Formats: sequence, C-alpha cells, structure tokens
Amino acid sequence: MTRFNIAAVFLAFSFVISGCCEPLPPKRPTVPEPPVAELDTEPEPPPPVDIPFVILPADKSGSVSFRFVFDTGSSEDPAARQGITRMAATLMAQGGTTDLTYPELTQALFPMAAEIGLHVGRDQTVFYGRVHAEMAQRYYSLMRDVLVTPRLDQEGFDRVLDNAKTELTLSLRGNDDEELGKAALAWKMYGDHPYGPPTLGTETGLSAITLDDVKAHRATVFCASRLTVGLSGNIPEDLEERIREDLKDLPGDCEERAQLLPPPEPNGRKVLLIDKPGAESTAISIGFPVPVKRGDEDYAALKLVEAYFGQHRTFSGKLQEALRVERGFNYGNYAYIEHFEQEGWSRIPMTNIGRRQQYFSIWLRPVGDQNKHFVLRMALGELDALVQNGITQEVLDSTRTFMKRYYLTFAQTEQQRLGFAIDDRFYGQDSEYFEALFAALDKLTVDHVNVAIKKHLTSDNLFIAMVTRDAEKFADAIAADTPSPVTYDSAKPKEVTDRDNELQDMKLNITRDSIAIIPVSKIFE
Amino acid sequence: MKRLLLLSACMALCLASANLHAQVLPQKPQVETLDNGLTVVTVPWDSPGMVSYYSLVRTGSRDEVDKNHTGFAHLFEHMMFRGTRRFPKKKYETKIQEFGADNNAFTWFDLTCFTITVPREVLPELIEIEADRFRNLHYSEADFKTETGAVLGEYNKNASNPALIMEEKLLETAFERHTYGHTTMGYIADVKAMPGYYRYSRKFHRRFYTPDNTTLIVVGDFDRDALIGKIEAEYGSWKGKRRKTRAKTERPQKAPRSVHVDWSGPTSPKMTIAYKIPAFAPGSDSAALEVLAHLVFGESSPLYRKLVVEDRKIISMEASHGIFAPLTRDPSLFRVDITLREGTTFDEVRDAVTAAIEEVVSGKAPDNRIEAVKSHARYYFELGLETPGDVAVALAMLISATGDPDSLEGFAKALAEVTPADVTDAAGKFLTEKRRTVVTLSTREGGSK
Repeated sequence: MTRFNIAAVFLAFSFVISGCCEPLPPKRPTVPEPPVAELDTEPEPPPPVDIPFVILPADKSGSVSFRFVFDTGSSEDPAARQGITRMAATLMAQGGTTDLTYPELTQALFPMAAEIGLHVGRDQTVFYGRVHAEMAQRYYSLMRDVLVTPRLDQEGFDRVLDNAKTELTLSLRGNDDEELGKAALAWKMYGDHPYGPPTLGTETGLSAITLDDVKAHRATVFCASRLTVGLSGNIPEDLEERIREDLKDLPGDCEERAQLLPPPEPNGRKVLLIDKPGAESTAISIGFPVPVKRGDEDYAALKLVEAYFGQHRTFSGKLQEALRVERGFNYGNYAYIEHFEQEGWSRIPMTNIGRRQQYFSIWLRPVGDQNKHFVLRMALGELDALVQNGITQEVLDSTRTFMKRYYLTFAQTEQQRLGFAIDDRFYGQDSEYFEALFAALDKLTVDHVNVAIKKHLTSDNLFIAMVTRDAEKFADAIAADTPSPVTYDSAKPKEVTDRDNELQDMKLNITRDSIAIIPVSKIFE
Repeated sequence: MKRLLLLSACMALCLASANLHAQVLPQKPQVETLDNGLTVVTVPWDSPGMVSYYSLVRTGSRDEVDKNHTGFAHLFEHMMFRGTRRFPKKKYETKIQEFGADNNAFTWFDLTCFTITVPREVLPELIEIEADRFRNLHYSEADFKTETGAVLGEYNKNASNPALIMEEKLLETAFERHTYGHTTMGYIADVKAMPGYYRYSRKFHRRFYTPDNTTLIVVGDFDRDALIGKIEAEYGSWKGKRRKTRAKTERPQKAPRSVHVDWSGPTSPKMTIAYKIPAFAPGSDSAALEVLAHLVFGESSPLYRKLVVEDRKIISMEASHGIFAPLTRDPSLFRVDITLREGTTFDEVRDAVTAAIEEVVSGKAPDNRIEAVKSHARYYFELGLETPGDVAVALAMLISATGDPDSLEGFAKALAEVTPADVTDAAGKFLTEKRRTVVTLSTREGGSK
C-alpha cells in the first residue's frame, strides 16, 4: 500500500479535533459580599464543560453519522450493582424521553430508518446513529432528548431489567457457547477486578438495582465531562454549534474516574470449565493481561504478531492453518492483542470498545468432544512455539504487506472512520490510527518484534475457559496429562503426524486444583 | 459458510424503495455476456482505491436434490478455497494475503457467492487467480475430508443456538417435496457422512460450477474497459453447461401445520410463525409483503407495542423481510421470529398475530402508516448501500432470484408504488391460516434452567 492510497481512503476526510471555546472567567461581585450567614443566592454554577468534538466532514456523502461516546462502562459498576451502567444506558436508549414514550420515540425514528444504537463496554459507552443528510437535524433532536432528558420511568426500568436478566440467565448461558466462553474467560481472568463480570452484570447485581440507583448512577457517569462527540458525513452547517449548546444541559459534574485495580498476574495455568450437559462441542478461550495499548512502543510489534498468529477470520493465521486448514478440527481459530469484538456479521473490528488495560486472547471455535484435549494442547503448543521461536524476516515482510492493504477494509464507512478517530482520542493519540500504525510497521525489525514477544507474551502463565460436557472427567484428564491421540478420516503429511505425536503427550502442567468447575446454571450468579 | 452475511445483504436490499423519480444506483448496472455464457455486471462506485469483486454461482441448497446429500452446496463453497495445481491452497492464501483481500463467501438456498474486496491496483492479478480457481479447481480426497471437518465445526458452532434446530424443523414441516425443505447447512447426519462423498463432490462441481451459471459482479473504483478485457482473457476458455435442477414443485398447503421442539438447556421460549408465499418477483406482491413485514410486525407496529412494551408478553419479534421470503427463485416463506417471556403461552401470541393480520385484511391499516413504511424503506435502502460490498451483495441476492440485474430498480419502483389496496390484498392472499406453519421451542420438562 502506498501513501497515496492511504491518503485517498482516509485523508480525504479532513480530520478535526476541536475543543469548545475557552471557559468564561468567573463573574466578579460588584458589591461587597454579605456575611455568610445571610447568603441566600445559589452557588456559582461551574463553568461549561469543554466537550471535545471529532469531526470528519464529507461533503459528497448523502448521510450524517453521529457518535456520542462516554468514557464510562461496566468497570464503574459498584460491586453490589453489577450491570448498572448497561442498565442506565439501555434505559436511556430504550426507555423514551421526557416528551416521548418509548413507542412514540420508535414511531418518530421509524420513517427515517434511524435508530438509537448503543454499545456498552468496560470503559466506553457509545450512543450512535446514521441518517440521511436531510434528516440530520430531526434525528439529532431525538438523540439529544435521549441523552439529556431521558424518561427513566418505572415501566421502562422494569422492562429493560427483565430483558437484561433474561439475556444473562437464558440467552448467554443457554443459546451461545462461544460468547459464554469468552465471557467466562474474562470472569476467570479478572476475578474481582472491574473487568471481571460481563457488562450485562450478574444475577445478584441486577436483582439489587432499583430505578433510583439507575438515576443516581447516570448522573455520575453519563455527563459532559466524560463525553466525546463524533460527527461525520454531510454535516449541516449549524449542527455542531447546536449540539454544543444543548449538551450544556447534561449533568456536568461527573466524578473523576477511579483508578483501575492493577491487572491480575497469572501464576501458572488456571482453568475454568463451564459444565454444560449435552454440549456436542467445546468452546475454548485462552488469555492473559498485557501491558501494551495503542500508542505504546510495542503496540505495532504485537499487532503484527496478532496478524501473523491469528488474524480474525482469515485463513492466513498460524493457528487457523494448524487447526483448521491442515487438520479440519473446527471452523475458526484466532488471536488478539487487545480487546476485540466483531462489527455485526463482518470481519471488521468494532470501534469505541477501548480499554484502559488490555489483554491477549486466543479464541478457538467449538471443537468436537473427542478432540478437545488435543486441541487445547495444540493451541498452547503453538503459542509456546511463537514465544520461543518468534518470527522471521520473511514473516515480518509478508505480514506487514498484508496489514497495510487489508486494514484499509476496516474503515470503509462513515461510522468506522469516526469510531477509529474517537479511539485515537481515547488512547491519547495525535496521529490517525492507520497512518500511525503503518508508519510504525515500516520501522519494525525482527529483533524488535521478537523482543516484544518475549517481553509481553507467555504460554506458561495464563487463563483458560472452556464450555464443555463431562467437565469432571475432562478436568481429571487434563491434570493427569492423559495422552490425547487424534485420528483423521484421511492420511496426513508426515510433518502433521510428527507434530501430532509430539503434542498428544505434551505435559500441560495444570494441577487438578488449578481447574475450577462451575455448572452452567451457576455462572455469573 | 457465512450464511448470516445475508442479514446485511438484506438490510441493504430488502427494504429497497425509492421515490418514483429517484434511481437506486447512480448508474444502471452495465452487463456484458461472454461467448461461454459468463455474465459480468459492473457498477462504478465512489470508493477511492477499493473494488469489490463478487462471483455469484446460482447454485445453493435448492440444487441438493439427491437423498442424504443436504449441505453439499455449502460444502462446495468451502472446497473452492482448496486451490488449484497452479495456485495450491498455501500459494493461494499467500497471494490473497499479499493483496490484503477481504476474502469470504456465503451460501443460501439459491446461490453461492464468493466475496472479495481489494485495493484496485491488485485487481488484474486477482482476476487471474479467481479465473484459475473457477476453471481449474483441484483438490485431493485427503483435502476434501479435512475440509468436511471444518464444515462439521461450522455446524457445531451454530448448534448451541436454538435457531438452527428451529430452522430445520420449520423447513421440513413447511415443505414436503421441494428442496427448500432442508437448511443450507444440511442435516447433522449428512454433514457427518460428507467425508465419504469425494466422488460426488466432483460431480457436483461439474454440474453447477459453469460459466453460464456464474455472474461476476464488480463494484467500486476500476477501469471498465481494462476489467472486461482482462476477464475475457482469463475466463474466455472456461467451458461447461449447467445441468437442470429437478427440484420438485410443492403442492399447495391445505391446512395449518405445527411442530414443537424440546431444548435441553436454558432458553427463553421461542416461536416462528411462517406463511407460504410466491417466488420473488419485482412486482406488487413481493413489494406488498415487504411493507407488511414492517407494518404488522416492525418495532413501530401496534402489535409490537402491545406485546413487547405494554403487556410485556414477548421480548422480541422480527419479521423476515427478505432473509427467507421474497428473494427466492421458487415459492418460499414469510416468517416471523418471536422470543417469548416465560409464562406467556404460544397460543396467545399466535392469536395476537392472527388478529393483527386480520386488521390489515379488513382494511383497517391507516394509510399514513403505510406511507411511513415506504419512507422507512426508502431511507434504509439509501443508507444501506454505503460500500461497494453493500452494492455487490444486494445485486447478488437479486440476480440469484431473478437472473436480472435490473430487478434492483424494478423492486424499488414496485415498493414506491405499493398501495394500501395491494397491502390488504397480499395479507388476505398469503398470510392465511391455511398457509401457516408454526414452530415452537422451550426448555424440556425437567431440563436445566
């Protein structure tokens, strides 16, 4: 990819991060102050909050995109009210406004084919939408009311709470083993750290939340000082000014976000098995915290390792090649050096899911029960080989070329470009994400990458979560290092069978007391 | 492989509408047909430096007429990534990686579509590789067997969601003769038996992967003359004629049907209510059904308000606007998927749905709601076609059903012209008890909660 193409795709959208006007100086009293005891005036209001805007105008576009991103998420849920940030945001988006009931709000959005999109993460929460340019002002009026004057009534609260409980106890536990496996990994990995529970919360937490709690929590975290506004597309001339004026009515005195606890430091391999009777296959997630984030010196090096070792939903990743292409064990096998969620049904990474602390993870899509032990060995074996051997110059060159072209497909839409630009702000970056990443890739050397691998990645100290049947039996087999030979429907090349022979007896160094088992009905209680 | 990609395809396509004077695409798709029958459809799009190159094969699970061979079209989609003598699997992947290609595929009832988006400068080389894999696909029996493992893995990943078993039961209950009676994924028994069908797979390839059954859809930033020249050079010598598929015609349904599924784990109760509808055509029936999906079942409908918001009987309700129904070559289903709250009975929801349909049939749907649906459709369509991939997949879906690249404009026009009488008519003709199949699912008595 040349600079020219980068420019064509990204820099065509002029990129502006602008702050608000300077805050006004406090007014000086013109008469001597009365004695304190006689004071009956309101205290001086705080100066308006300087809300940052990220603006990507595109005059030829027929639409306008909005992203209202608050620097808050489930990491700020109090321990006894886990799930409250998501509850508050959902009630704002799906509970109606002071002027409109929820059905009326839906009716108003419908003819525009618009919606109040919402995503709640651990540290960022985004309200978003995209509309035809001729509907931009009308849509914004509805979004404004959702943010500034949400209805927050008991009826909406009961409905949204009921939905959250159902989603946690029935859908997550019962309808999607892959998502359950990923949520269980966070639960095991982070424990009491604020990143541990799902954003949905826990059964205990949800049961404790009241409408008054939600109102109070909203005023604490969804306020102007935590907000970044993103606009892109064919933006009406006065829209930015209008938004600045309106958002003065947001709660403005949020507390500073509390410092996160330090990330957990795994000691050995710790396993959580979610016992799910009748599961035909086993979903596997592996991970550990890493201290590297966007903008850090080793970020590009680890990003390259991610692309080489397990680029999401491609065939070129090392894990995918070993487990699916050569052996046909399952559908997909990927690795990530920062929190990842897929946008819709695409392969595109979702934006505005930033985190103050990151983690490395491996996602192995469900494998047949007979192969689960071997596949676990193989994934850990491949990770170990990566840590021990690092990469070669050839891998560096080919992966770099791949990334500098393929990543351009991540920012084809207004919402995607806006999301990446807002993430740059979240991570304190002045340069545009792809431009900075590609420049850093150009400077990478094999030594740099391999030192970064040794420094930040490990195959010895990590967490593993698996959704599986016969968990007790599996736990015993893991702890006893029972051999796990595999058979195939067809003959395999010698290098494959040789590697299999090495792996089938590989010691996992996992003691029985490092393996916890929880029935599926009990997780996230 | 990527069945659910169709959701985004349909978001772009199935809500298609436009005002009477607006054209959906800035330029009419240009069509070129090579001597061997290969069709090339091109649409220029404002996507600087990027181009989508989609290969549509009009073959899907509809063509799986042989007993115990369900899921074969989908398996074959996988096999197309196994390489040729010139570009064996590893070399193919190395090239794709070098291109930075977003390379994927999906299979549905009537089509298999290979979806690639790349920087424009690699397009000529991409065409060489794509022409080679369509003309010269080559895989060993061992490769074939390995790939069947990945297909089983795909089945497994879907199987923890009740939607898969519900879909299997819905289709086999609604269709007694036609191949729409099984899912594109295929039955688990057939998927497990796939490793033994290497020879059959070669036959399947010869039957359906032919130039006259394939359409290349190219959307984005490219030089059309150079593109067509390169395609002629690379695909021109490809030979073969598609075999006819003898999918049996479904007999008219004479009475409502239903089936219940027990689920062993925790789940909310779920139900699907489906109605037999005609094959997709860019005319008033398909357009009216599109309007009905929103009018009766959409988030802004009175039924949704009552069941989801006011009475809190159900958690969600969504009518398929094109995911199954209107975009098929043969008559298929209009379906409504509903997740119930525990304690709500399936019968009360079914009765509420029937009552809401009867309201429309009796002409009580307010005209302004129909206009709101048409406005929604118009904007949704315009917003849905943002990237070259959005346009390519929309065209692929429509061409798979009709064979006509212009049906995009035709459908948009039909939607813009739908009248309240068309909507009433379609509801009365198609959303009737006699045409209905209901599937229900709940946790088995004594199952874990």
